[in-house]
Amino acid sequence: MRVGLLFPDGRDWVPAPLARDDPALIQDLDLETVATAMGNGDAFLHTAARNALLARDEADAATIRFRQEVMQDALAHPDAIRGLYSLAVDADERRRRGSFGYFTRSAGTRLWASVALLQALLDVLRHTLRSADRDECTSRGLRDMLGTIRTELGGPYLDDVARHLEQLEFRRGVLLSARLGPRLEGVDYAVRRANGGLARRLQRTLGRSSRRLTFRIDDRDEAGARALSELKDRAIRDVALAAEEAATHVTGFFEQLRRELAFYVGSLNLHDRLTRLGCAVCWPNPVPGPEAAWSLQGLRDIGLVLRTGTPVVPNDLDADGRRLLIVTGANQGGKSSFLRALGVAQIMMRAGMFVAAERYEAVPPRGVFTHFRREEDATLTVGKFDEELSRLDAIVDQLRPGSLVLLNESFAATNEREGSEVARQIVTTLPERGITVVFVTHLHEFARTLFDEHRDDTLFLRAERLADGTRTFRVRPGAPLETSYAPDLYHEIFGRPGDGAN
Amino acid sequence: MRSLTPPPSSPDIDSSILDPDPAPRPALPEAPECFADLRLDTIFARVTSSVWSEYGLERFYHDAPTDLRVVAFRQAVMRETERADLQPALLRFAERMRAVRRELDSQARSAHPLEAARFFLRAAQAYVDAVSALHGVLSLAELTSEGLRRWRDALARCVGSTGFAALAADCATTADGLARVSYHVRIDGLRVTVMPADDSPDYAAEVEHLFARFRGERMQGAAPQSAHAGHLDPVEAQILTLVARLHPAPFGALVAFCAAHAEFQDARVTRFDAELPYYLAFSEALAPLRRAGMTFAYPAVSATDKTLDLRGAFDLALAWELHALSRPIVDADVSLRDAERLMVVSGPNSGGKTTFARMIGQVHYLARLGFPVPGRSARCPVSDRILTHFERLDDLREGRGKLQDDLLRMHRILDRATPASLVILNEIFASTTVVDALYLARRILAELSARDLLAVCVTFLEELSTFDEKTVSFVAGVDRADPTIRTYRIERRPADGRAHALAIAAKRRVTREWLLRRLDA
Repeated sequence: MRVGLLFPDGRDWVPAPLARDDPALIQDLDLETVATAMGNGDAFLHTAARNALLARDEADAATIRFRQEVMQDALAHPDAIRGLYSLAVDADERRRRGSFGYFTRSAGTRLWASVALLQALLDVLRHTLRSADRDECTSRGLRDMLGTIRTELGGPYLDDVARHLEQLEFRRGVLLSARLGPRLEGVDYAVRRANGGLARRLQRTLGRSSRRLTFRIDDRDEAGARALSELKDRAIRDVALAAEEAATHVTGFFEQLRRELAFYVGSLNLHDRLTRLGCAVCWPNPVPGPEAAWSLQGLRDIGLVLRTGTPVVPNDLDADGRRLLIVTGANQGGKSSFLRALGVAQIMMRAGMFVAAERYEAVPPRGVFTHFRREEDATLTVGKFDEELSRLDAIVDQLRPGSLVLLNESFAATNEREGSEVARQIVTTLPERGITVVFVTHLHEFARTLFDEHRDDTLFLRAERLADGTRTFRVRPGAPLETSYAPDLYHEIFGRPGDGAN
Repeated sequence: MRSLTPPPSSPDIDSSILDPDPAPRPALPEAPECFADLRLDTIFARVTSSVWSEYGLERFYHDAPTDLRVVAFRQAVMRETERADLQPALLRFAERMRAVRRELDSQARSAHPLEAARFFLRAAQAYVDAVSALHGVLSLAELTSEGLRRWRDALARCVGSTGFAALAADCATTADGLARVSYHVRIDGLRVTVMPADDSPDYAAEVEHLFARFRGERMQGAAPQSAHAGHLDPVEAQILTLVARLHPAPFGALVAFCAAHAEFQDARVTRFDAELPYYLAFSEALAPLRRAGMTFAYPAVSATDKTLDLRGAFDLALAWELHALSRPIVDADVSLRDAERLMVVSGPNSGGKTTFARMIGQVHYLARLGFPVPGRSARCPVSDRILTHFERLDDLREGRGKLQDDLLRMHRILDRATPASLVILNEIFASTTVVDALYLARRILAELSARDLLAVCVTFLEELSTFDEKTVSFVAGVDRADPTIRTYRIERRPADGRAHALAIAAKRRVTREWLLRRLDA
């Protein structure tokens, strides 16, 4: 039985453990704020949201549309989805609570625990079937999932299982077959159904039971009794294993159902929250590559919206055909926020979610990577510039055509001339291999030289600053300017009128 | 039936694969003094770990020959034991012989006579397998080493004997008879009934069929609980007694077997089995390093020529540690020509100087054991002694008392050093003043130089690097491109080093050239 709510081919979604640079990605793009809103106070939902945002599996346009459909179903019937989710949670919690598992040692106990768990889960399954029948689902994902349950576990089968479970208690002793093993111990013990074989019945009829040799363990012989029960345990191991595997499979189904539904329930939570805050959302249009395509209107930095509780200033972008975006301009002008908004939107689109924009169209990225300037220096032995480049080195290992790299004030930990040369080599080379780069930078020499070359694949953007020094937090196409306005910031903070700013 | 342990090897056995002229050796020689300084203790602890721990190989490894003839004899055997067509067979032989000992041990500890008899039978089976299989491989092989050729002759005599043929035949028929026994058991409460097998249907299969649709992947952690690690429990023992009564013929054969073959091991075989791991253990310890691309070379050894020429040599103890961390090891070339004898190693701290000095000592010791040494190629003399003086880090004393101890140790070394010795001094007199240290070190170097022996001197005193015409200077390097980085590379040269951004970018492989290469790969 497969859940298959996240992949069109019915494959299970298995969250990967945090990758080495996931913590950096979470921090740089403020993903934790988004995951918190999706979790809405539920730790399981929170984790599932984080996993979905960080997922590194291939998500092509077809997969994205498949998830968008399920999500639209969820938005249309939020109560049904939340109800199904709570059934899955119920079943999953039964497993966690039960004595079922690898820790119970004896096969007899395991058999019994598996049987009990199976009976409880079969009840939940019946509920699931009933609740699902009521609702009209239009998405392929949900329809297929419910269909599977119905065909695999129709009522007659469940009754059949219940009958066998009773026999498995072995109340009238157990008949075993065995051979001699390497130490003359019994091996290949197998449970036999007594009175089933023809030869056996003939023997009984003809009274040929003379070659039976019997002994009895003394009532006070505890060691003997224990050894005997161990022997019996070994013999019913295969039977116990089969029951345990069945129980594991059914719990696994609910565990998977819970995990996959958690993504949609989390998305519902986020959707509610954004709508209440007046932040526009839309279904992004995933464009197949490889040509660069990225155009959008009214994009907002979700993290900032959620943290401030206000619909912050939206931005537009028209970067079709561009693989290198250079963002320059005033400090505190919204460059980093713009960079984050781009990164988060690409990640959410890739996950199959809506995005915080009025219109959004892009090629889904094959991996999003961030390289942000770090304030602290982790070690003393390695120089800061070296540390920056070692992080980049690790990123390059994972880059493929179609990847997105977001650089924020990188290469600043050395003098400008040398930093510019290194920056130039890196950010002009990656796009040649189909990698999209957005680079927020103060390296003026670098930006100016590149601008003067009028490269077709490069788009220059600038954080807007009005003549009076006011920042609009809009990022618009524009050539790099001579200064970074650091004096402005200085004076803003220190509160003295400027006397040399130009 | 009495319990058997392998008989001790006796002096009249005709073949040893360790010595051309076998002589009694000390029972358990202590480790040479240089062992800890050169980390040979670490090396041989690893070599004798795992399955090789039961052989007491230290008695061989602590006693490296100084006679060129013995060294050459062992080197020839070692080369052959490493041959791809022979080594697997030799390893299997050793493994089967270990199985023989395990089974005999189980037999000795078994309380149930039938079970004990079966352990004995299994020991004999393993022995027959070990000897026959090895004979099969060796009799067809082209052998060149004196040691293995002599052993092959001994083995042929052993296999050709009538006793061995009878043993092999009896093993097979007895075991076969027991393997055919099958039966049924009914357990009802505390009552156990044993009866002949019949055709009652397999209930487990029926249950498995019922749950078949849930069987995706096999469960983990539900591996069969193998109840007996060792012996029969009381219930099994009682069942076995009844099974034997149901099937008297195969059990009768087992009793006869034990009576007929009480002493089945040949002393020639047990001696070979005791000596072979000397070679196999070392070769197996090198295997993971070889797979990781490190090379080992059989050194050209000489009793008279003092030429030292190592290419791509490295510290074996460190190699395992770095391999475990998946980090590459830095190797070094050492080439002493003509009258050059004294290697003075200077350079930055933690730059690999000590490792370099250890490596030279290890090469000399391993060469004497007849083993391949770390590196692409090697030439070295057979030393009579390896004398080391390493600064003791745990010695917190300073001043006169410590200097006095240092000098006493140096004196002992000089007393024992001959022209054929190797002396390794590591940061001696480091805790005294530079003037004192220079004065003392020059005296010591003059003594060493006068003996014309090979010596390595690791020091912070660069002045020593031009001590005399026998002196060669080695320097621990720093990265030319990025002087914040130590290369751990020791090079033969006098000393220098500087950094800029592009060099670091190149180091991190993010220049344009590197990026194109990486992204197109």
